[in-house]
Amino acid sequence: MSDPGYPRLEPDLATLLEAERSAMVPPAALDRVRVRLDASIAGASGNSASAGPRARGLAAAAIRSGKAVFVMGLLSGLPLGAALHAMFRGSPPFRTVSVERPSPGSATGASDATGRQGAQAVATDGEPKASDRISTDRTDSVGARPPPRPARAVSQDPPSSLLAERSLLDEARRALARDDAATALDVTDRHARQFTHPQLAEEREAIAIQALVVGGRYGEARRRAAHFEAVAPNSLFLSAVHTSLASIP
Amino acid sequence: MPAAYVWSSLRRLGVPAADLEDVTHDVFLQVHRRLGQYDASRPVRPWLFGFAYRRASQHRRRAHRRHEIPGEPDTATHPGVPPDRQLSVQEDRKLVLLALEAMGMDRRAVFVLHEIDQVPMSDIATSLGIPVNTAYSRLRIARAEFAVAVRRLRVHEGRP
Repeated sequence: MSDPGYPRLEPDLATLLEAERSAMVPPAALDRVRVRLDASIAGASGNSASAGPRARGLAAAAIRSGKAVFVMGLLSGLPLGAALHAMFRGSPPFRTVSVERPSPGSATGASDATGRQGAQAVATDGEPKASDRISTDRTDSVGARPPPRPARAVSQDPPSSLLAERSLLDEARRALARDDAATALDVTDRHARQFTHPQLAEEREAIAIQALVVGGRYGEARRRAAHFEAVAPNSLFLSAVHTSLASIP
Repeated sequence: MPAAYVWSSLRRLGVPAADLEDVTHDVFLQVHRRLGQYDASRPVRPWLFGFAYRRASQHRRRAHRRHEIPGEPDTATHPGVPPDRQLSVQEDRKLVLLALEAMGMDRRAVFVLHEIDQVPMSDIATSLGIPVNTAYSRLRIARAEFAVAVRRLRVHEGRP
């Protein structure tokens, strides 16, 4: 149905509304909402998981997780399609596993199953670094059985970690925008060391790979991108990674 | 950005600046609970606005006893506006928020969605759960109310 011909707003009134349209919400306020919502959803999911019967299973947990990802995606400014993709892609949430590197003198086989799995996941890189502690939620790619997955999708870190993660990755992104690959990599490494259960691990990896390309470390970039694609084949950040790799001369 | 959109919508629907963080948080909690009802073929903004509208209505019913100053500016900024025009734009914005206060919530919602967010009327009708003709009727009255309110406020403030 088209506008049935009611009087429109006078031009000067329409101009007034531009002032309201141009108003920008303070980003710090939205960050505070994000952090609070993160905590609220995490609490709700955790309570639900503990109270509900186990028969609800991982599928229900994945749906809850996906919902959390979707809502947090909306809050983080993801486009709707991306947020929906994150919700409906059907994969479990991105999860980080720390890689235990045995010291030269230590006994072998000391790491637990998770550690072994993580070590296998990063085996494509010759020199695992802190930044190699990336998700292994697609463990079938390394032929290992995944450990029992917690029902919660969001980080186990304190609620304020999302804001801190966001801040670090923004710093890395700014460095990347200046073509300062060394700083970008340094910051992504710092992120990997600092957050044991990051919520923005995929974004960090994408930035690191782009930084490797900018820094001319093409081989490393390709290896890390291959690993990233293997463990997170449905990541929203893959297109950025592919674009970056395509720019390699 | 959806979070900023919800925030701005709540402001336009009369939620005081001091309560915006709390109410935005509540809206997204509701979104989280009702996500299964979202029709992915529909635009997300009017759907989110529906949550904001219901929550803002509830908030206003509860808050009517408080001594709040309608149109009290929040900490929003206006990027892209030259520094010499910032003050004027902020005054215009305050005028808009005050004029919106003159409308009932149902008409205000249609006006905000159509005139500020530029959402098509069919989507507005869907998100508010009303017939399209009703939405148009509310818009017509809201436009007139807005014009009258702005004129009255300008006279009151001695603005041209």
